[in-house]
Amino acid sequence: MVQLENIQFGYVKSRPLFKDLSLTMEPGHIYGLLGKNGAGKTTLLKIMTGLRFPDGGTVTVLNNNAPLRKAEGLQNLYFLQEEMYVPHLKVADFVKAYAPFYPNFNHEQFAEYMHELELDQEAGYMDKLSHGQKKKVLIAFALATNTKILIMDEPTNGLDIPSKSVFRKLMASAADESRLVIISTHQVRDLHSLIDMVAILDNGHMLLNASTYEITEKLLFDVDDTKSSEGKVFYTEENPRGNYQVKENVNHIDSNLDLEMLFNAAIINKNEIANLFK
Amino acid sequence: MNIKNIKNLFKTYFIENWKTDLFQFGILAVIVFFATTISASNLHFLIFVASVFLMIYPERLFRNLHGNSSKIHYLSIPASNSEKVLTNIVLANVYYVLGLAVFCCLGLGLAHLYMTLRGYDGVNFDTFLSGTSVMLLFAILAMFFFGSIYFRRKTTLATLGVSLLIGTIFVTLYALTLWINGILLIPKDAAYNDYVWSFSSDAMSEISEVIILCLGMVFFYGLSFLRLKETEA
Repeated sequence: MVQLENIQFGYVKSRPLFKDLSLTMEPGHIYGLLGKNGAGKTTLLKIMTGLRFPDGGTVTVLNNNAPLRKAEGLQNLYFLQEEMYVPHLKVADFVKAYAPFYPNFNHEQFAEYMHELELDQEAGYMDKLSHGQKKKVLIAFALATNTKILIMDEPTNGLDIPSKSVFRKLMASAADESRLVIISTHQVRDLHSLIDMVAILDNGHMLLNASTYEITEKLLFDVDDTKSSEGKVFYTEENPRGNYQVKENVNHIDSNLDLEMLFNAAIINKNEIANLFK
Repeated sequence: MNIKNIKNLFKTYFIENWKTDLFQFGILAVIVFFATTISASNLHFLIFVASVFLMIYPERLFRNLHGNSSKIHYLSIPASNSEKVLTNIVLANVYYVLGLAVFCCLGLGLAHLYMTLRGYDGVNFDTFLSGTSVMLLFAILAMFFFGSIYFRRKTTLATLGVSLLIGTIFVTLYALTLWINGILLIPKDAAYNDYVWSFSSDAMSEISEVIILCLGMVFFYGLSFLRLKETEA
């Protein structure tokens, strides 16, 4: 569905951001795209949506060459950006103006999502709403488009605590076998229960691209060696409840994935983690 | 090209802009009304005002390209680059021109009515626009259209500045060529003004002017499409 092959890209030619980056993303998953500040997460999303052109390599999205920005491709892709733009329109007019571009847009779903997010379609002009409210309207719109690919950049930024849980609920209900959702975020705790694929971007490469099942098969998330004392420890973090550890799961013991711990372990032990998931 | 996408682009435009357009057309009608009641036969002034409105218009058509998040929004709209450019060409060359014409006529009609009621002669223009002048107006519009995509901010002023600069260079070069020709080629006893006049009038017939202006329009709209195609966010 999304295929990036040997992508090369840099804002400055002497400092490439991506060097031969390759990545394949399949439908039926919710991907969490993680990376440090400046790793290029947003740029990668823009390359996928055809908003940035790579210096080398190919970007194929829904069998279309992404940089061509063909209408057929864009009809099945919605990109919810972090810094949102909303026109000077009421919500109902916004829907009237933009919903026709998406053949699978469902007005009933939109009304339902708006209701869940405690928003009124007849509320004032969108550009006068608060940041969080704007985001909620666009999240409801994005989900109602029913596009095959939904890309979200920091979707929970600016949402209040109840809205974050509603967001998770809506995302879970909107995900299906034919849909690919890519969420780039630093707020991993907001989404850890949602995502089933983890992609970590580091230093111009994909450090990790694996399912949460595969991760917990190969890595053990333990506290004070409660579950196992075997296996190489990749990362330890002191916590009032004990020492949280990420270690090699030599005995295939079940544990709960902690995205923050995983990310830190992967960044510190790049080669070992990359080899483990080869 | 998909007609449905073009229709949707028009729909989106009108939902977002009908109030602003109506306001601008209204201002034009008021200007026309007052200008006509003050000087009943000054068509050139009215054309100048309408032209200014028309030249400013493309900046508004592509205003979404001038901000980071709005650019992403605009480029992500599910329509091809050619559909977006074509829609805006039609909006600028047909819709907005018709709107200006209708509201100009409205202003003129009201002025005529007002003057007749006050016992003056009605509006009576003794000048009219030639085909070449109309084409020139559309060619200039095409240039501003391209400028509104090419430049990132204050696009109308930037286009005006650059076109004036290029125009000045061309006129200077042309004058320089005539001056050099005058020194090197024209016999000393020939009337210089006659020579220059016959040279310029023979070289450009009205048809060739129209063709050149049409080519200019195609050139600028073609460049606009290419510029939009290569625009990144």
